[in-house]
Amino acid sequence: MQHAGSRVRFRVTASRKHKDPVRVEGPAPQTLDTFRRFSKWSAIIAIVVGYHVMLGWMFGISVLKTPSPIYSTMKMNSAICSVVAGVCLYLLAMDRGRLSRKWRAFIRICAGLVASLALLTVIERVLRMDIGVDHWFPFSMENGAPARMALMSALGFHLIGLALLLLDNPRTARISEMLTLTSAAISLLAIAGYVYQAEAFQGQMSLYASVVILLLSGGVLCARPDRGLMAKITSDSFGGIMARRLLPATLSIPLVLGWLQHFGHRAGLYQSEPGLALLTVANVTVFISVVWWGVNSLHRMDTKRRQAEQELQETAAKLSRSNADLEQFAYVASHDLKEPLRAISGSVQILRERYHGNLGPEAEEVIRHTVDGALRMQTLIDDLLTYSRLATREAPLEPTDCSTVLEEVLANLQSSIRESKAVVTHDPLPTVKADRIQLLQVFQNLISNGIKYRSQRTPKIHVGIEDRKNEWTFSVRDNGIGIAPQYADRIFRIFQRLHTRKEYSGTGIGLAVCKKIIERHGGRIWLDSEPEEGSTFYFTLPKP
Amino acid sequence: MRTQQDPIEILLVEDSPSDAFITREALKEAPVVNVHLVQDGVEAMAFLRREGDYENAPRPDIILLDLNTPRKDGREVLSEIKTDHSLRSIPVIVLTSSSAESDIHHAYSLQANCYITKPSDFTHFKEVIRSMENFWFNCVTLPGHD
Repeated sequence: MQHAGSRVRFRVTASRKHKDPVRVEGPAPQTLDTFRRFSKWSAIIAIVVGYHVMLGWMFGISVLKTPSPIYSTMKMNSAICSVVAGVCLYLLAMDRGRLSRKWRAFIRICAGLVASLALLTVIERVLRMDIGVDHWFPFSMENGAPARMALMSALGFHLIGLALLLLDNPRTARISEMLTLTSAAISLLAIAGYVYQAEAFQGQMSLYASVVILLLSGGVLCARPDRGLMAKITSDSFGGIMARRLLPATLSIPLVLGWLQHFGHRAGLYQSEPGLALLTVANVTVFISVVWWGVNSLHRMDTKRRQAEQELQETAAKLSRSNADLEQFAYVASHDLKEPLRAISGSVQILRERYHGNLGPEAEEVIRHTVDGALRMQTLIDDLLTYSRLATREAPLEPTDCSTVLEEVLANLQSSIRESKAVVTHDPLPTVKADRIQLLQVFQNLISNGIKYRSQRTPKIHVGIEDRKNEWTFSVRDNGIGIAPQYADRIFRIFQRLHTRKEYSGTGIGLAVCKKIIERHGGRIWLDSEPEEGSTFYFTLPKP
Repeated sequence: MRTQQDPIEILLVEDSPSDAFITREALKEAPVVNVHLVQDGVEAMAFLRREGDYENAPRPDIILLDLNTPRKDGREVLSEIKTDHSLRSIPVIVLTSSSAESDIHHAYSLQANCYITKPSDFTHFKEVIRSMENFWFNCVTLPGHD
């Protein structure tokens, strides 16, 4: 006859301990997508421009090579670099870490090509020699001679090529950023030159090339918006928000103001010195306004955040008071509940002793049930107190060495291990982030269960460990009586028992305690078992 | 100086009638003891100071003190006994159901002679009382009176 033990089924609603706080500063996915899209479009523009420049060379259409005949043209090699770098960037921007080996190799080859082609041109320019790079591709003749990339263009493309190569290697990612920033600066210089200066000069970077290199630089930076430099800009923190709002201004305003000053000077509105003074004042005004706007935004956001923090602190204080109350309540309740039980149990036992001979055998049985009942009630009260303490007596999670915990458990279970001649073995156990006392309870409960519910065989218990990527999976395997699979869920509930008290003592709280503890640590616990075949209890603990 | 024949005077400070009943029952099989029962802290101090109704009360050889007594808490009683020159030589055995570390620590820091947590089972309780009596009445030499 199944005696399901006490039918007490109320839940001890203890407060939930806060898990580790969510990192608020992570970038929002929409922001990341916006940046990546910019990358892709830069790449596309680079490809399109490069393609059209190549068409220009192939069919002699001069507007495709330069916006105006007085400026230098974008050379064939530049166009090729532009297209190949664009393809490379597009693939990289699309990559979410799932690209196959072949694609990665292809990307690397492309980047390498760009870097090498440009590097050779740089060497040609610097050493004033002809390596022949400019002849390699058809349609590259200009005015009867092979057209060579400007030094700055070559440098720009070379840096882009290198940056693309080094982008995804964590050790070189910062170098890649620096290279990109340098090439952006170079192209910006050229563009500013075009904005301020109408005259062309020999060796000047072509306008299309400078735009393409600028776009590619921006594109490379934005291709990895969640790493390095860009991570700060895309992040959700005040810094990121400020950066996204202020950086466009800091990039464009000096350019615009500089152009205004130059234009005004050229249009004869003022001499160059007063013009410069005007420019300076304009710069100061604009920047003060921008900074002031930034300061205001920051102040508002910070105030909001402080408020939220304060509310959080108040909640935490309330929680801790409520925990203390619960602990107090549970203790007092258990204390006060036990007194009448002592009265019952003690009185009845005194009765038995005083009237030993005079009471019949039925009386003996009655007395036995009374005393038993009182004793069981006391154990149940103790168990409830233990269960409620799981919530109120949580310690913070700290690195805990499982092998020392296991040693302590085996020491605690010494006598029952000796009595049952149990053999307990274990794999080398790691250090995990846990509440030591609670982890000890889990191991102790599982191992003592393994000993308690043993079969005819000598109990053999093995504690195993499996290293998964994000978590440790522990196992406690025994060769005991096993559990039918249909009960695998029930046994983790408080006070659920599968055997009568005659067969096995205990209130059925051990596994409920284990479950509560493991779940508090963010893990899962489950069972694999067959009757007569022993049981294996598994539980996971997440890695920090 | 007390002789072997003098009955041992025990002051039992216990507010729960059932716990008092059980304690007395357990003490019955001992060497001859006189158990004087008071139910709260104020009565306990009156008994010890032989005030009011307790003018002719004997001086106890040993005090069994529960911690949670009404009107005056057992801890206060303990503190008063141990700071009173004339009373502090009487051994005080804290006999209570509380197993809280804070209570244990507090009792000892107030100079309780020892602390016993009442077992829930009567048989165990008898054994504990037996050991207590054996120790305090047979092994230990109790201080004489005045």
